[in-house]
Amino acid sequence: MPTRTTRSRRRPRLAGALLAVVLPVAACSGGGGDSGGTSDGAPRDGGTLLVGAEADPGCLDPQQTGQISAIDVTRSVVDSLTAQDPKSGKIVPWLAKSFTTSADGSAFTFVLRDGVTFSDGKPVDAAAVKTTFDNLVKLPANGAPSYLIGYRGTTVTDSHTLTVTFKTANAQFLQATSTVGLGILSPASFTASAADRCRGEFIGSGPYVLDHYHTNREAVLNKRADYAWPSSLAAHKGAAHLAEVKFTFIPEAGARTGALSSGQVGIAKALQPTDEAQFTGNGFRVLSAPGPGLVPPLSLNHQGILADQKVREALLKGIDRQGLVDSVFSDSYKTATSVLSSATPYYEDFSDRLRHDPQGAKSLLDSAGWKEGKNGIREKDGKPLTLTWLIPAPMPPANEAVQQQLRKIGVDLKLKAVTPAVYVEQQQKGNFDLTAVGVTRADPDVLRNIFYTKSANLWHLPPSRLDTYLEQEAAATDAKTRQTAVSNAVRWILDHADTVPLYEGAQVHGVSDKVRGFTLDASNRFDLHDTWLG
Amino acid sequence: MHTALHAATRTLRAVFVVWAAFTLTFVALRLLPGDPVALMLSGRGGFAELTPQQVAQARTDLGFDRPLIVQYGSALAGALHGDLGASLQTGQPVSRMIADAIPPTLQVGTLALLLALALGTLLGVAANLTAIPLLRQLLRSLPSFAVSLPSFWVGLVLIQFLSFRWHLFPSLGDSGFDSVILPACTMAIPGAALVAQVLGKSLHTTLQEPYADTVRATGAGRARLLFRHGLRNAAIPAATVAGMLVGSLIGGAVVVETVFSRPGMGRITQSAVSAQDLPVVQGVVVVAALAFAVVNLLIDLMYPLLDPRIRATGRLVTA
Repeated sequence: MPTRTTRSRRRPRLAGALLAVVLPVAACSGGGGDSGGTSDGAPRDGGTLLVGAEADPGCLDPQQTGQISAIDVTRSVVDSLTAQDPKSGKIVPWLAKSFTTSADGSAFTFVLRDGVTFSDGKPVDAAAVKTTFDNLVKLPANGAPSYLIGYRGTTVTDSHTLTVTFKTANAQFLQATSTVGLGILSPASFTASAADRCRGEFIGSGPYVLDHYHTNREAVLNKRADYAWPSSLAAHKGAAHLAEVKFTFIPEAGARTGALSSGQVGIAKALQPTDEAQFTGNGFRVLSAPGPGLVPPLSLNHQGILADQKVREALLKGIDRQGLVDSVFSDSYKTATSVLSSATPYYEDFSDRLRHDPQGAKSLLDSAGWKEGKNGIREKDGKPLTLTWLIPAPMPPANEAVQQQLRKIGVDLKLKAVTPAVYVEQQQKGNFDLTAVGVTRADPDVLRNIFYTKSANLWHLPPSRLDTYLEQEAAATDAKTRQTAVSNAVRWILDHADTVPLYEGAQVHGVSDKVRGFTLDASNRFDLHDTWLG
Repeated sequence: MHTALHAATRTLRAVFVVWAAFTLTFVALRLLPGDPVALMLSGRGGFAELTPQQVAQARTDLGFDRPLIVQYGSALAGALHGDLGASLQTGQPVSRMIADAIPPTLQVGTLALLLALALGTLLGVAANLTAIPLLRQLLRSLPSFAVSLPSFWVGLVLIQFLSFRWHLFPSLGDSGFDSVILPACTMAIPGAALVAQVLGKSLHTTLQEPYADTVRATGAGRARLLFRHGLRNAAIPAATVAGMLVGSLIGGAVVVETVFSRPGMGRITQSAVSAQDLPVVQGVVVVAALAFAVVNLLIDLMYPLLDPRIRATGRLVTA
């Protein structure tokens, strides 16, 4: 599910949303995540895996939250209709043994596999899927419910067959069915209030069952012994290997790395780039993968100074992406080569449009009327070229590096760090020139979430042919048409400098070598079904 | 008679403190810039589909569109019945969140308070007991040094050595008594320093008073003077400081619970403040004010037992 991230991977909850963005991501080639310790020996059953998690999500209900800290827990509790191959981005069977899309792309028929039950013993049948989706659309249409915009309903044909219908073609829906946000819940879940579901009162059919979730303390999962229906991507078909998984919430990054190095946890989530070096070799490894979705960019408000395309283009050329990654990040992070990260399906390399060209940037500013002024800051009609960057506190170090880079072409970037509540308010009111909003999702439809002028359009983009490309992307019924639409949209965005991509975020975890078979799914979330302790 | 009147006025004063804390917090939170409702909606994994209409609708649902005075009245009425509203971020009842958070904070806080009192008293007494000028100077400057140590740093240093390096204590969680020790030590340091400072100073003053000469004239040694007479007389300011320490516990808990990954009042305060989760912040302030008022009321009522002069007049007559 889409999570926006604000650059600091520390507080996904607040940062989440409409806010800023950081990128959760995973890295390993091609996305998925390779575990480094997968193939050594036969898996052993039993044991407790201790995970040092970066934050208490506050809410665990997959329908109500898209935060990484929640999904890493619930991915093991709730199964989805489909799964997404992290390497190819392909959608493959899971609870649905087959699925078909209608010719016009607006109806999706799923055939469920037999013998699958929720942990309360009820069958995973077509009625349960209908109940799940019917309840999901009642929630505010951000996060998982936004995947169902235009939902007309679910028709149950027989106990194993159902059809989900939308008002128009909905190309992103199939990928959405692979996310935990559209995970299938037992109908009994919906007798609990939304607040109680947040506290963990929901029931899935996953390889683990939520034993308890204590605020600011821990979330504990127990293995489900009769589990036998992992997705077609799983290494083994039976129950999970681990008896128990305990996520302890350790907000302080130093305490998390210390807990890993002293053996108090087996996995420390969200390593700081500066801490990665101490976990290579010596009994540990770093598991990282580039986050799929929209890379963390400078998001540009197309009002005020940045209404001028030449100034926007100057920013695009004024960023030294390699320098940024080298100075602030580790090897786990890559430079942006498009608006989409390289781990996103339908990604295409546009790095030729993202070259560092300070001379070109300066002459663009010259021709836009911004001439060199005092202290090296450019001026026009006596006004300095000062841009405000709205940032949800705490400010990540990369921002200052960007500030220094743009100073070199004569742009004065004011970093304005505010509390999350103020951030959202100011962002909605458009009180900024720049901010950073990335979105994590393994589907190019993230482009539509951000750049479509008929949605919230926080950047005040003028309506243009881009809208048409995004509508084509959303309505495409075959991969080739969709690829063309996505490439057209990305090219348009870069040609008009509608955003300034910076780097590819990464979800970076420190892992003890005792933890084997641990991987990340296509959305970079924990996949613990094949994990075992050596 | 006097004692009863004393108790009654003090109780009224405590009630006033809690009401004032409630009211001031209510007003201050509404004056803050920012939009907690939009944050709540977007914080749930949000997406660009969040429209101003949706935000307005949510605001109406939550009653934030009513006149402030009406909101205040219903919040106050609710609070009097123990209903502190529901968290904007999670929808949980605030009273339940706080009830869950109090026990772990109380464990650390109680131990920290005991440690602070014991260490502070020890240091304050030792500074007055020793006759060696150099040692006395050292013992006197120790508290100001300790007060200047940031708790965050102390906590990380303790974890680094006692937990990560020597494996003596767990670094995180609240698994039994073991896990309380490091956080309590961290939290106790500033409190101990404060007690040591106040007690040391007030002992020093007390020992200059004429009665001390009288005691000395009876041939009593330094220790006897200090323990039999001085400490009792110096105890009142120290008791007052102890009451204030209770108020600072929540502040200390924010740091300690974050560093040691413990649940409790500090953690919910921290996340509620950064998310501008109005009902939770309001609830935390009221509960903290209540605890502060009750402890100080108890200490107030204890003064007459410590000092007979207060018993007679209902107020402290200091020289």
